[in-house]
Amino acid sequence: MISFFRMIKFAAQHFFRNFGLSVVSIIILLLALVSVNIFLGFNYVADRAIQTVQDKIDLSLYFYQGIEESEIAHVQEYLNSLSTVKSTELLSADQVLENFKTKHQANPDMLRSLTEVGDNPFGAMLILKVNSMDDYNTIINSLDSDVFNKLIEKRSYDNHETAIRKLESIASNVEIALLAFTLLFIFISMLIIYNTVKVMIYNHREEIQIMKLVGASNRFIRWPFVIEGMFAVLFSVALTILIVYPFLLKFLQMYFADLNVDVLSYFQANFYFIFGGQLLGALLLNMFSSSIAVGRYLNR
Amino acid sequence: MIKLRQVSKFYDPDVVALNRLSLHITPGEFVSIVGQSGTGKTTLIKLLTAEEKADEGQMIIGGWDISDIHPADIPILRRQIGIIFQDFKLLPNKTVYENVAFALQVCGIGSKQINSLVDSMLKVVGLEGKHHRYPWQLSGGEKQRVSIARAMIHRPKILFADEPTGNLDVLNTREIIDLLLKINQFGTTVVLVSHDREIINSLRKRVITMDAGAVVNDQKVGRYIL
Repeated sequence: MISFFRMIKFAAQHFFRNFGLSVVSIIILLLALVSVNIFLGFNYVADRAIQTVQDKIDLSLYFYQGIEESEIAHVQEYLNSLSTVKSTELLSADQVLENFKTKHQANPDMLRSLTEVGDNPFGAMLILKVNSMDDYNTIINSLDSDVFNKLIEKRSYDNHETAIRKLESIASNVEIALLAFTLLFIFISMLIIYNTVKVMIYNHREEIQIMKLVGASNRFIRWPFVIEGMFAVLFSVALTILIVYPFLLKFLQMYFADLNVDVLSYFQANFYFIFGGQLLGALLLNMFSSSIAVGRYLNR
Repeated sequence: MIKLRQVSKFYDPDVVALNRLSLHITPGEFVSIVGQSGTGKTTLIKLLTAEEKADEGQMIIGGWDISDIHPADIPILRRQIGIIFQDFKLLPNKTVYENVAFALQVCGIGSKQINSLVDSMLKVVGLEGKHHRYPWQLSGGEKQRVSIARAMIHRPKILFADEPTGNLDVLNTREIIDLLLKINQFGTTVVLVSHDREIINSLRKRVITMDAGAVVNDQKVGRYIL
């Protein structure tokens, strides 16, 4: 027990007496961690942006005029039972007419054409939202039967198919790119942390030799360095939180306000996962790096 | 106390640092080892402190055969011997007190006992009132005293001194040698490696002369002869 407390004491002494070196280590760790968080923020923004665009695309089914409400309700019920359908909204023929008028109120020609037709020329309309863009085809296919074709005059998806396919391809490419960049970023951060620890230990190589000559066991030499590295990680994660929250996230929040993306809430909701994960990762990486780096000099 | 039988050390097949060296040092002796540079004096100290391993032969220290010492036992050996160097080898970020205390802390000794032992040892080496100074705030002579205090704090039976006065002026050299003699008078075996002819001649103690990795001269009351 005495040895355990002594190792912590030695680590603290080392950390504060080599303050310049400790600050350099903290700054390097901080840069790596802040970069990871900025990346996470952008990752979330990109993800939300794709989601927002996806949400804006819906599938509209236009029913023939005079179709019974019960038959439309039957179609709606069927669609609601599909797991691929997120929601449905039914607009009656009158609502469709009102929407048309509102949409074209600045266009007297369109309104006049309505008067010429006389009655309401529109049928009811069903607006569908799906869980994934991949599901549009499945739904369209499921509606492609004689029963439904008698009721449904037009499917708006037909007009957007090319755009949706393009968006789908962009979304999947962006996802792959984000994943690749995230992995690359984590790898670079790991290399930075590993090399920082290595440089730190390299600066103490003579001390390690002296400690050995005085009769210190390998454990007694290794652990203070490992713990010292842990202090650097703790400080850098704390500083990362202090920097990321007030500055970067608010900046991202303001910058992407138009997209209705709440980066701050995302970080708050996943606080322990994001920062806890970074703390744990950096601690483990630090322990691994310092053990290897110290071991190199211990075996000489 | 120290027995070496036919000990050899090769750095390359062609570079022979020690060549079938044999010697016997009895408890309480003060032995000076002299020789030109590259004759194997420092290699001998490195083998005796288990910094390096001998390629051939047998080495016994205090009844312990360290010829093939296990790495885990090296710290235990070093806690039973004292070593001082020409370049002092003090921990730069520790104070005088902490440098000396470190040798006891690694053994797991309690803080109170360490306090009293370090205080009295610093008195013995004449460093009273300099507990909180860092190595860079000390003169060469003072640094070597800290080094001696650290080496002697756990009261070892043997003290190895590898060129301890190499970086010191005449006055400090004399003081350090007097301190080593005092330590020897208290019963510690001292093995001194030195180039200082005047010091060796003035000691009137046993002198072992080395050449090409072997003992070429061993006199009970010897002189520096090269």
